[in-house]
Amino acid sequence: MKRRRRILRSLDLAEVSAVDRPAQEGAGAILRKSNTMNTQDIVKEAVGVHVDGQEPRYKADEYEAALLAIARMEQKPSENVVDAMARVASNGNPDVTALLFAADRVRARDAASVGKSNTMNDNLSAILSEADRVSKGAPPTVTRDAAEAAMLDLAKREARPGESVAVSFARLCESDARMQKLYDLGHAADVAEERVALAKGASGDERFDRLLVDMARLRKRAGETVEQCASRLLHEDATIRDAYAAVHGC
Amino acid sequence: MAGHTLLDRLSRETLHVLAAALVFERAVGSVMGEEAVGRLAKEEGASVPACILLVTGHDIGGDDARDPELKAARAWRASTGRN
Repeated sequence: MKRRRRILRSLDLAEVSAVDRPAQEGAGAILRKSNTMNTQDIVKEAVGVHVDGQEPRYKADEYEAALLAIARMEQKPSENVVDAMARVASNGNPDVTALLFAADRVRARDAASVGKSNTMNDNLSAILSEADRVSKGAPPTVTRDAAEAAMLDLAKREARPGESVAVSFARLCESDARMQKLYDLGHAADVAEERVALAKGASGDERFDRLLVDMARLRKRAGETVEQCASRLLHEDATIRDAYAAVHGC
Repeated sequence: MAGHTLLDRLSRETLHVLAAALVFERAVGSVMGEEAVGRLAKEEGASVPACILLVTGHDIGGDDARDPELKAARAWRASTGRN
């Protein structure tokens, strides 16, 4: 059986008394529609940000909407919302102070994030230009580390909503020519470093040096050249030391 | 043996890094370097030593009592006779 809906079209409210913040008789009552915002939750979280140094979870405009809700609750019949907002902001109410602090904190964080993103994009553009130059035969002037960091930056920048960096990285490896160019740049940088390392020679045995340089290429740390890594591995890695001893019969 | 294979014991993030390293290797014809694996794992929130061990075969150390993925990776390497 279909349920009959009743729509109230006209009603008189004599009193609104079940309220979270009591106000004096005669204060205005507003009916608001909202699907997400819970002012009390936001205020509570903002106090945590202000007093305990927590990371803000809401957006700046959500803190400001909570501020507006408080201003509306505190609004006197004789003043408009803007004046009410100015009054509550200046009277030292701790909830309002916390909301203002949290909104400022979010804006500062967002601004820093934009700055970081711009720097990342500048670096990525520079490395992509370098990759173009190297693909035409110019010698590389950056290291493989820089090229691989640029690959990761590209994956971060091109990540689709809901896609993690690794998934974006894998997708670009398969479908984006810039990824291949960046890899080629890293490889060219590696070859240049390997040539230098092999020319100096670590052991005097060409086959051992080749193995050592291959190993160093895979295991080098950020900022380390292939030659430096080969030297480190000779000192730190027991297997490589054993192989070196075997080559030299010692 | 559900719940006991290596893949069952790795997090989604670590599996993403392994998949990315595999695709990278297939795409460019070279193993992903340790530094790049570490960076990607850190960015993804995966276990850095487990990813490096599984991709490059190099154990960079770490307490596997605190990192069950590293423990699983070491156990798997040992089971293949390559620890």
